[in-house]
Amino acid sequence: MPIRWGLISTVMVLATASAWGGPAETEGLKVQLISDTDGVQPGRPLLVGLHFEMQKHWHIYWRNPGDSGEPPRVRWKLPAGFQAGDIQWPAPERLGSGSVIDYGYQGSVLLPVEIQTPSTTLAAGGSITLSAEVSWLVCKDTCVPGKADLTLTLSVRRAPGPVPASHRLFQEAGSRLPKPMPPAWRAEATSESGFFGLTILGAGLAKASFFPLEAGQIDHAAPQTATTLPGGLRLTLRKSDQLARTPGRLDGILKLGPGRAYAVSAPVRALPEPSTNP
Amino acid sequence: MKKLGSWAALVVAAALVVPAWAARVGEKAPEFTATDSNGVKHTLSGYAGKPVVLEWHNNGCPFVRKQYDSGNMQKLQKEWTARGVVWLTVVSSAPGKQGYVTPDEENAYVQRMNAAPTAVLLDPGGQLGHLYDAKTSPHMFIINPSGTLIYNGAIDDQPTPDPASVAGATNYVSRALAEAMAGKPVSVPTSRPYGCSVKYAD
Repeated sequence: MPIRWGLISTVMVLATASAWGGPAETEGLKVQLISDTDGVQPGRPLLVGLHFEMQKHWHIYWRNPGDSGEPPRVRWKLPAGFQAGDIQWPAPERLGSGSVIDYGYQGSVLLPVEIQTPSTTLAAGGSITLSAEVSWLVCKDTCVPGKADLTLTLSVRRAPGPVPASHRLFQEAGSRLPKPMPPAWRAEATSESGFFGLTILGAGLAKASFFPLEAGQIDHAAPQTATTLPGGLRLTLRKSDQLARTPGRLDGILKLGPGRAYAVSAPVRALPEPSTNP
Repeated sequence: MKKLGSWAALVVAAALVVPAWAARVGEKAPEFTATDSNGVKHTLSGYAGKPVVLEWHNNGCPFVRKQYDSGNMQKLQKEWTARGVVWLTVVSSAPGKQGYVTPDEENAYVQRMNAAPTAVLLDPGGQLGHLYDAKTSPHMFIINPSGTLIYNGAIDDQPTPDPASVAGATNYVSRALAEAMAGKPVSVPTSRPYGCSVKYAD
């Protein structure tokens, strides 16, 4: 059943199944391009998003998918003067078991994207169409790649208002985005033999897990041992077998619980390797 | 002070439980014994003096199908075995999981796909997969003639199941083998393996 979003005049989809109309629906998921507001205001940023609704037990992937899988990708075709920002990635979940651990989303997720709009070339009363060529990998026990051309047509308005059904999704997605670390907190890391020590100094830290932005730095499947320090926390992160050289920083997000995730960028200090003499 | 001391002890304890590398480039590749689809046993030490490629495989995985349906993997197998490389395809899917094959099914697949590995090692218990910590299909390893691991990672630089990506890809395995055979250091010795998760037993 196609969902109509407020005053959006048309929602057209070319799914992999060549079905036209409504959200793209393939094995494992449904995806739709939605807007926070019922129109576009010339010169003001427009918030749109890719709303993925997975079937039970299926998942898609975070920007760093972990050990397997691939993140969704989007290629925009926009009217002149429009410019799309990067996907804003909500904090993921740790998925999988045993020696293969992935980072991604189950249930549903909205990936917001902010679009800059021109102030001069848009006339009130007209309309514009955004096109997104979206590809993804959705997995359960097995994986299915998918692709869809999603479009969204919006009226040009002087004062667009929120579309209630989608505005709620954007607010929820916003609360799942990692926040900047509080200014009083500090993050630093050491590179040691076989592992990184990631120290976060800040109030109220007891349990946390680290999700690296880059693959190939830490072993995703290894348990992250947390040690409480005076005024903070230290995580032991086993190095990846694919780690070629020590990175200058460990960038990622620190997840403290549902809705509590912080962006972390920790400078890495190399500690001397222990002597291997007998 | 006392508090700090006990914290240091804890950190040391945490460090000790970090296990040794599974298969780290620059170190000796783990020795193994495995049985192929014709019932023949293979050991890594039995191939001392030759370069060995390990290719993790799952015939239902879209990332593997990209390589096989395009004929790219078969081409690599033919090219490199003709140059003296031992190419071992490994299937670590557990019974009931995607990619699990009986010996007969695997032999029929090899024939149908015109594949040309030296042998296909059947690893339904996942022992070889866990020994090398194979994460994905494909996941590629290269061992040099003296038994040292010289590559651990992806097949190429195109982490997508899109068959159109094969044509313009930089193949890390071919490049590493060519460099190693020319006596040069491997310029990209590790990369993030990409693909489907290896379908180990639960």
